[in-house]
Amino acid sequence: MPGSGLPLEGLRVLDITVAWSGPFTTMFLADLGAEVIRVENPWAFPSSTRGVSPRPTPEAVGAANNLNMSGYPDLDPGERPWNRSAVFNWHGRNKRSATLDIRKPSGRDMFLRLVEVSDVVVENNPPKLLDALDLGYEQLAQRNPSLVVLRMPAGGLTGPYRDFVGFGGSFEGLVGLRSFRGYPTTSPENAPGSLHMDTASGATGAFALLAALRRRRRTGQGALIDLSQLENLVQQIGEIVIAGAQGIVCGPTGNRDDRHAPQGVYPCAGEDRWVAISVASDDEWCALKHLMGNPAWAEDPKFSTADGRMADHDELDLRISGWTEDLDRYDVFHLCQAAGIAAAPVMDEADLYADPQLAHLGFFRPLESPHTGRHTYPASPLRWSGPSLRWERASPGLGDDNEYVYREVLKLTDDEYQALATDGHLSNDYLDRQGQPL
Amino acid sequence: MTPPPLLDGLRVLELATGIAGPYAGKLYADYGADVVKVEPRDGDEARRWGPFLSGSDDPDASALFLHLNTNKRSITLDPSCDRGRKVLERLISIADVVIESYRPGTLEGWGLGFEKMKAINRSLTLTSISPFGQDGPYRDYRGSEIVYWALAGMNFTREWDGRPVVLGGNLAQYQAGNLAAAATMAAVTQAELTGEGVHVDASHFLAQVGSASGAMTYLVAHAYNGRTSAPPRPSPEAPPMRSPFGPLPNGTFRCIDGAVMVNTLQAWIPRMLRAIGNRELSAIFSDPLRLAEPETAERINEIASAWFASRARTDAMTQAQREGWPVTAIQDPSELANDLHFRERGAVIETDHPVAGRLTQIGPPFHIDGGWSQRRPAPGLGEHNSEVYVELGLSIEDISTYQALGVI
Repeated sequence: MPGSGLPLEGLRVLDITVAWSGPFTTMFLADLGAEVIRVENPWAFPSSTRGVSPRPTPEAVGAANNLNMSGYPDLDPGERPWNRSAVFNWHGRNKRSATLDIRKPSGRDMFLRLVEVSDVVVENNPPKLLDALDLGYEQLAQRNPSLVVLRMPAGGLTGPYRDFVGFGGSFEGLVGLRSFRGYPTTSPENAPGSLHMDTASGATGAFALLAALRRRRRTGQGALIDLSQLENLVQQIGEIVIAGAQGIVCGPTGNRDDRHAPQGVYPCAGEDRWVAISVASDDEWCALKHLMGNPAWAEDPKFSTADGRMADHDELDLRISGWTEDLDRYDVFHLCQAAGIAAAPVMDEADLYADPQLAHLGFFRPLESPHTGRHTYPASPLRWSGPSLRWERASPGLGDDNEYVYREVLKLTDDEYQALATDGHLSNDYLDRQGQPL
Repeated sequence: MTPPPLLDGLRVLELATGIAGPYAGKLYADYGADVVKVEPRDGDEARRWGPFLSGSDDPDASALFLHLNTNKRSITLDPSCDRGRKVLERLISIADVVIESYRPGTLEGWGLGFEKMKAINRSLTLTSISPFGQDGPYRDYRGSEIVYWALAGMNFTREWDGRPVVLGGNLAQYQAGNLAAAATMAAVTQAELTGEGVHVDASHFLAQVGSASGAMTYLVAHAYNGRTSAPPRPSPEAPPMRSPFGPLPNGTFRCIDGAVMVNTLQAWIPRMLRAIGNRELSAIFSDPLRLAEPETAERINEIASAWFASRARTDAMTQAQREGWPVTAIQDPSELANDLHFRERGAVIETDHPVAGRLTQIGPPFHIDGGWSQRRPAPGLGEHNSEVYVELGLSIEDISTYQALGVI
């Protein structure tokens, strides 16, 4: 895609990431013009990367109450479910897919040849995986001294948690994220889970790589980036950790906080419809009273100060719910915002696709793929006055770019390419131990 | 050869308050950029936000402010008046990056929109951070942490009674800043390659809907088959969900001193069996008929529960992880300062602050040679007025005149 004017055009990235955090990082790089080549091992299906499991039945897909498991076009996993899963296809656009078993000596050799013609390597596996293959930073840098390598395991490259495994949801409790979520009576064990770690890591990974590439432009030096996803998450709760070390506990407060009163999620007309309202000042409280029609209860002097509203917040929530429950959540949203009060409906995916602001920002864009057909996808959260972010090809099917990567990029001879095939590296299917499609 | 500091030579002007903008600025400051924080005369509002270390609302003891503003220099300036604007123009002329979080249109109101800034400094990156974006029908709408989660994330984060809840802390605002920092770095790259500055429109709305934490997956899933993420309402009596994969230990389990989070996929059954080393459990998993019996799930749960209940959290975690079984201790944030892993890696460190005293601080989000350093603590309001304005070429007399006029 020469001529795009994008800042990472001409940069080649080898992507051996799994699940969501690492792929989120490489999504930004591909959107910014880099050639991102996913190097995927057809002999090992990494869970939650190209689907939760390799070959779910149509019945299981239909019955799943979780969108990670039901997220296939028309609820049909198809012949090759790994090319059709929303778990992969939200980030795979613009990327290429080549297959290679780097555990085999011939695969390791080929990987190092790719390293020689690349600028960046990104991975988020437990460190022992690449280290056991003698593919740590030292070995890669020997082949290509100006290479920038981002390794982003949960625990980082050193320390007792170094090779710990799990998903974002399993790890967030380790750094304390479950201790301040949910109602005040909710224990960390029963708090609802989240996958915020993946989100946080992906953005930091992109920042770190772009910064390291800037330094490389100035000095010619490559670099190893050791990004511990856990530690990156600690950053995002820094004030809670700092206060906690001094014995100041920030436990769960439901939907309330110490800066807004009233604040909550209130039921609206319809089934499972809610609006969030957040009042930041006495002026905003007066505006909200006005919207509610200045009811007599709201004139109680105890509600005239933030402290008073915090003290009787339960009562306030009941009263406000009484106002919202017959109203449309979007009416409450626009009324509040027009009066200068922060508010938003609790939006689901259908709401977001219909949202006029996201339409204005151009967030949803169509893509067509032989594996999934034509659909509308969420695009990049980055928006700028620079050249249009890349929106070129839909997520690649497994091994779709083998010809391109091995013949065009590496310029392998027919014999070399054939040897790769014979050695079991090239496949459009995930394979079992006998080499049969899963 | 030791490489220079990661962001060596990069000059950032932070016209941002609260959380997202200052967090973006912090990432630049902590990795070696020269970040000058331009505060209104009453200071960044985060100085007045908790939690407070002294237990009071002392503006120099906000743990939030102390965390978000390390390595920055603080100056005060009122850019809305003529003299203030001229000073800001001089600051902009020598900056590489401006990060601002005023309401959309505010800069234009000062006569300092992006076009004007570019006329002063052609290669300048301007990053504007707002709730909903710099234009569009929601441009002037306001935000808050709970509002951002309502926009995306809350619909699939529910309490036991079905009510949507926030994720806690200030995570949405941090993430907006995190993403803004990455976008800014992309814009800096563009500016350095082309000489042409770029305006980055970083919004909390896009940061939320464009997040990896399920939001984008669910959007694609919806486009694929029309389903939405609204979960079935659990009843208050329902036990925590154990597994969507069949009778496998998933979810939280009690230990001697707390609880652990357990994640068992089908492929990880051998790892679990090795860690627990229970003959009956191994027998169950090698007998498909028994596995299919309805009462087997409860028996598996009992055996796993007993294994966890006889161990401390970290012992269970270490033994399981040695086999590659994803088990992690659930910790309180206050435990991190004593956690061996985080101590060893410098993720939580002890420092001295001139006002707050002995202070725990957070280490780097990533390690790189010549990277992160803690050079100075979060600044007092206007602490670097003289230093920065003298560097800018203002005389001592100018500075005192401006101070008397309320410009500085």
